[in-house]
Amino acid sequence: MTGRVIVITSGKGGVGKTTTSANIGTALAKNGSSVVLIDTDIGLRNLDLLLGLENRIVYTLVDVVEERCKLKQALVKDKKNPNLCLLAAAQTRDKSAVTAEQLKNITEQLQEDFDFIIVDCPAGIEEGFKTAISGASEAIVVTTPEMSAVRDADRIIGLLEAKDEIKSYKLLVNRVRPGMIQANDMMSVEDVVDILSCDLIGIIPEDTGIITSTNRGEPIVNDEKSIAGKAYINVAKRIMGEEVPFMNLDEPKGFAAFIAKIKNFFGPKE
Amino acid sequence: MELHKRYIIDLSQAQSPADIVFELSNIIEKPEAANQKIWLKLGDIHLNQSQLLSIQSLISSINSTLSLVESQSQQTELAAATLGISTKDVEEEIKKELEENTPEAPLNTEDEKPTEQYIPMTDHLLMPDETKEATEENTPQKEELEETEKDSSIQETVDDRKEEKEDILPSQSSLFSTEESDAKVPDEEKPVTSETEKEADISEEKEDETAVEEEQAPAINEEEIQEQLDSIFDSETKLENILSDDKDINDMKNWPLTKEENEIEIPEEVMTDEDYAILQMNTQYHKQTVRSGQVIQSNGNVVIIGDCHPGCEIHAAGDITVWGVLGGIAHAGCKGNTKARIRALNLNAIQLRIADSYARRPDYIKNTYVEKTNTFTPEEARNINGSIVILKIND
Repeated sequence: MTGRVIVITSGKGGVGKTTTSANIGTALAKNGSSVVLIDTDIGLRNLDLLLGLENRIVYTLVDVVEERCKLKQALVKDKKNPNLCLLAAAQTRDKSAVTAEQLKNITEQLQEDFDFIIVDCPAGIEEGFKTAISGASEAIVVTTPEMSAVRDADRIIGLLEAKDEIKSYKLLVNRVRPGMIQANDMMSVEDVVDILSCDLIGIIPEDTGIITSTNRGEPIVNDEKSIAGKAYINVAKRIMGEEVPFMNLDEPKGFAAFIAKIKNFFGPKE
Repeated sequence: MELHKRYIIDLSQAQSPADIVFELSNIIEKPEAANQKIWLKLGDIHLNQSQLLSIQSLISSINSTLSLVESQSQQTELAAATLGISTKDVEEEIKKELEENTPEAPLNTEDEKPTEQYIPMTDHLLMPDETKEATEENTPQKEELEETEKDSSIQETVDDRKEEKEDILPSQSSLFSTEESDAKVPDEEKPVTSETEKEADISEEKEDETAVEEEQAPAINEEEIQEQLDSIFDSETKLENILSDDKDINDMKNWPLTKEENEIEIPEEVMTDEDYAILQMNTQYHKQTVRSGQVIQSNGNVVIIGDCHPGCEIHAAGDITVWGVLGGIAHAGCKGNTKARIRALNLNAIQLRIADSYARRPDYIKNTYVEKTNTFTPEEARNINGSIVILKIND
């Protein structure tokens, strides 16, 4: 078995790389694939917190690289889903602790045992970024509909195109607020796609549930009712090759909006 | 003014910065070294600015000034230059001055040149007693010579410019006496240590932490120094191999195995050799908040006055005591001592490890940050037959 190595990157910080990694990883594992998540943000690790696995980490990526343990020992199993594993980053070191070669070596070893290797990339375009993309053959560029994030994503796409190993890259637009787009206060997803001229793999609406799920250490895809969770599940399906239409995020107007509000009052949106 | 006298210290044989400071601290104890202009001859050892600064303050503590440093290391010379210390060649400087000086001077240099003038450290150790005696016999003559030289210079010069004398004698005698004391009475090392530490304290005000550590260290022992340097806020974690190959971290147990919940029999406390070993270990005090990503390592016990935030790691061969909230990873007895204990006012660690046993915080505790409260529940974690048990300290 040769697993697919997908790097999740953005350039700009705070757009939701780690959240996306955790949720796509969990969604893929729920679909039955075996998934390993690699946190390459050494020194500022967060992926373990999002998955609620912080207390289980004994060995890290750096320990594997420096041969203090075997690769299998460092893989932390998810609490709920046995298909999902985490290879955590060290908190007490910095990006220079792992080189591109070493990470490539690790992803190659993991490819034999897992269907998907999701690499969570640190912000920036320096050493950490170069290390993270070293083993990957596919990339998902996360951006938000803001000029700064789009500009950074453009830079990242340029860097990914320059790397021969990256066969395909897809765009994921995060934290979309349909209300603001309708009021012309925010770039629409179409605008972002036009600017970046890049295939779209998902649109994730802004969801306050993300904050609570991060604090609880449970990915939002485990919450069946959450709209962002559904969007992430759709992304995972598209990664698996399914044709899934993009969700209609437009907020209903007029009478339909009134009905929707009443529906909301009695129960969350289906 | 006595300050015009020059006092040359040859440390070109020193193997490490530690050697230099050790030797220097011995020499400056001698009264001859006080109130002098000190010329330091160093080998190819790299000294950084803060190390040089601490040497300078060591020398200034006896009212002497470090006016010249000769070194083969560019780094040292650069550091000296930035501190305003001249970096010329000692021998050339002496020649120059003697040429400028009285006609008597050249005779002096011929007599004293290299063999006697610069006595390398290591040679002392190898030097047979006879030669020592011989050189000691020579000293009175030189004293005479020097006296004459002094007189002549006083007569000659009215202006104070560059009338520095070679004061070779004191340096020789001081070097000898230190070597002898080293060889005969090793106990004397202790006062020396305290001396240098005092010196370090003085310099502490001026310098950053690292310089102090590097300075304190030399007097004790090279290996210990290295360990100490490694231990304090070392960003490189050296995790002891607490898991054997067949152990699986995914089998890790939750930690709060309190006495009541699990009815584990607590064996009666009997002092074993391991307990005594912990009592005899050195203890490091840290008065600070230990934050995410910071590592404290120690070959003895660690006491932290402050909170330990999640993401920090504390590794100690002995006990870990936290006067505050413990929220990170604590590994007591990391060299294998199973009697080591972890104590905290609020024990909320992500992981507890004692010797080769480990336990994690249960998943139902959701707070991933440190809760700052005024109510404390002092607890102690012990390793009882391979499982980690938390006991209320009052029990």
